[in-house]
Amino acid sequence: MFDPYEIRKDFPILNRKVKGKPLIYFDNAATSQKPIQVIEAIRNYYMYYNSNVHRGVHTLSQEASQLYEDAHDYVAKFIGARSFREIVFVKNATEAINLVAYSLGLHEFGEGDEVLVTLMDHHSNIVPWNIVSEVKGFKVKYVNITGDGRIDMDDLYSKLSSNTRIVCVPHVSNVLGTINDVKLIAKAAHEVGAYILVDGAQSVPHLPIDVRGFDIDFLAFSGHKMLGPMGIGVLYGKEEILSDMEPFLGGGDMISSVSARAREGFNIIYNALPWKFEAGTPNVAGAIGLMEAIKYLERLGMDNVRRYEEELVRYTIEKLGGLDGVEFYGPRDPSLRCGVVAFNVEGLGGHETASLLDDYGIMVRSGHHCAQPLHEFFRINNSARVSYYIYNLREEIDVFIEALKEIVVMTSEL
Amino acid sequence: MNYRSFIKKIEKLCGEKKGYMVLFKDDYSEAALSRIYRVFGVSNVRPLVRVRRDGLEFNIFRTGKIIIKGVDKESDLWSILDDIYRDVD
Repeated sequence: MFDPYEIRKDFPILNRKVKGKPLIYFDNAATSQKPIQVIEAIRNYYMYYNSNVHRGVHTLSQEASQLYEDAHDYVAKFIGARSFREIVFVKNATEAINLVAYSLGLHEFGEGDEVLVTLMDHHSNIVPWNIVSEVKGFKVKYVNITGDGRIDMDDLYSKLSSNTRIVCVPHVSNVLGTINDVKLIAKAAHEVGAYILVDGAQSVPHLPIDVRGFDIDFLAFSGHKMLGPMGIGVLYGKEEILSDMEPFLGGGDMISSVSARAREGFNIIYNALPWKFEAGTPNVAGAIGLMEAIKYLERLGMDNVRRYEEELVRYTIEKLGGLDGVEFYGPRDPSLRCGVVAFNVEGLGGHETASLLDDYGIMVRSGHHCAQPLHEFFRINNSARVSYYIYNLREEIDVFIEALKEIVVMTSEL
Repeated sequence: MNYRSFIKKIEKLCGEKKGYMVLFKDDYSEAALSRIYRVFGVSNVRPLVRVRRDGLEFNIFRTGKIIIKGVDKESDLWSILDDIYRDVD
């Protein structure tokens, strides 16, 4: 049974007040709040299990290593991967994308090759490719979007060619909430022999994910947007692709052996997957926190999470649609989007709107949301954005809408 | 006390080519805001008061924050603030 009122009891922060008003946290696309179960799991690890992993035969190290490896297994099952070998722990989705851009782009792509990104991508899925392209000389092209905020599939098809090496798309836009058909895009990419990398930062926390069903090559996401702690993220990659890729970072644990040779320098053999991509002491507590977050989401059921958030966004769109002086962006059909709605109040910038909502205890993000090309497309500098999660309520949306009405009136008098 | 000690945080605005947010410390925001209301000849009857002057836009929030648009560099921002709080010691 999915009961947001019961869920809220697990989130201590939701009891606090801001500016004397009950906290309404609508900035979940930036980071989610953490349930007590996740907080306790991290605390428990540091109190009873803390030790470095894969570096000791003693009991604590073995226990910590087991927990760390279990976390890989949990993630693999959660997203439908074949095994833990396809799950690389990184810092966040950004690092996961950088890993692919450097390990693949730097070693396999060159002049004449093309990388496709979209106009709705987060900077994290644009900038790393541009950095590597400057070294290697390949082109980074972008796919347009439609006026209602969906990927322009005709443009995508027209830009795919035998030169395309990888197609990078967000599963869900962090501004528009648009859910993109990654299965269809994967099929199109594979038909020209290209890889597909999906930025799942805004989808994995909110939708059922099946990497094998989608047939995607890479999926990047962050733990902190899905009830887990900051500093832990995931790169999923198909095992056969990861096996052939060069490491991203070098150091401890990512090697099988390093031998000094008198005249030839060093002979280095890399470790097995996924450790080949996890150099240095990892974020063990973060991995354990993420595992606990996944357990929490699985208890709720990702289908239920999706259904509930669709209800919230449907309600929001209905209410916003009836407000004069407020413009919102993205598809009008709630079934095509996740619980993210970016908007602007006529006469106000996103930051002014967010500052005024803050006085009502409502936390919303403002700015370009690291998606400047998308804002340019809509000919705006920035926007305010509400983004929901499992503990948000319709009553909170009512408070938000009433606050917006007051702000619209006040703005007209400025 | 120099007015700069009123300020908790200055941040360049994300998504504004020329814009800064100035956040005042809770204990000093009343003093900081009364000064700016007086300099601009406006009252604090609304949560947000907007003043346009010399090509700049000042959005003054009653809760202790100003968003200033039209400012390119942080050094220019400090000059503007220096001007507003010229004789505050």
